[in-house]
Amino acid sequence: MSQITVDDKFPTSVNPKYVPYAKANDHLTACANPIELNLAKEFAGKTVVVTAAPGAFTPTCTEQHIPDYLKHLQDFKDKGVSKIIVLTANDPFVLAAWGKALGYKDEENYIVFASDPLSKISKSLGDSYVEDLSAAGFGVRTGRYVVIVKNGVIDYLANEDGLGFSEISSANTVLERL
Amino acid sequence: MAEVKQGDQFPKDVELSYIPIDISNLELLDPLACQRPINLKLDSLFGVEGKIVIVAVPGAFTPTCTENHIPPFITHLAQLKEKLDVNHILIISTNDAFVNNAWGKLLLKQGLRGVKIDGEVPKVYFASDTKGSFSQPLGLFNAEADRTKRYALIVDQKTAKFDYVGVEVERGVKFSGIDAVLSARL
Repeated sequence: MSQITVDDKFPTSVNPKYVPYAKANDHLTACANPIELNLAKEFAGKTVVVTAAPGAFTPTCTEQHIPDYLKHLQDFKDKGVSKIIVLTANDPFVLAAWGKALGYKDEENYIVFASDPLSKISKSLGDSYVEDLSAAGFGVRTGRYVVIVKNGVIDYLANEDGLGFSEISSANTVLERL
Repeated sequence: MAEVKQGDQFPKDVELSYIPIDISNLELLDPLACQRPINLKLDSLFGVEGKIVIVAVPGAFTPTCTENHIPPFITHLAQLKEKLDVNHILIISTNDAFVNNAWGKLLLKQGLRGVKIDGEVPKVYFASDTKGSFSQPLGLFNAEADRTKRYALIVDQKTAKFDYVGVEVERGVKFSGIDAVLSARL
């Protein structure tokens, strides 16, 4: 499958699902029903950052990658980013709990923790945006990557070589490109 | 796949991936601290007196499982030991070991807070039934959803036979809940 590149449209044929944060479901083990995040609508006329990680509650994602973004939320806002979408192949319930556990508890839902069903969205970016971890019993996971989407078009994309977290997908790298 | 029934033999070579949780100090249980998963070899649990309870849920952090199904097992650990001589209780789902571990820590922390544990209680594991490799051959897997069915099993450690098989046929918790398990005729 051909790789998607800068200036291509970010694929919107599959929408991720998420459980919006609400005060009523503040407790880590409280759950509400997932809804679809309409990507086409989110992208229209706006700048959105999409970042993917191999799994909720896994060491690297939990300890480094997403906390790095959470620390810089105001910087992303200052640069005109309207929303940050965190994708993993976990289901929306797991992602909702993870978001809360990481400390994001704001009804603004500026950062959403959304499920890339069977990594289909990531797969549509190209084969290198998914990692087949079936041998380890984890199935096909999203890779670790970041995309800046401006009005639906990919302005910047960077894919980690492997599952690690480096400056390639760090918040600072993205902020510099915005 | 025909569903397993009471009296059937427990399969050999079952291994489930999990991250151990130490309940001796609940305050130390941090759902964001991740350790490496290891394999629980079920074979190693047999040959002694006692029971194993296995409770399967379609998903960690999903509404029914989190709010109704599993918490009563955690608050009834002492009764499970006392009434049924349960030595091990396994909560399993097809989620990965990291997710199950985070979920388990939260439920244990929540369920055992303020509970005084005297004497022996079953060892609790939150383990992954990866791709349903355990549930599927027992006919306890929903292939369409790619999730385990919601069920509870009691297995005798001496005979390695199923003493009780309770599988939900509709939404909700009836045959696989704590009441059904505690009142199972063994």
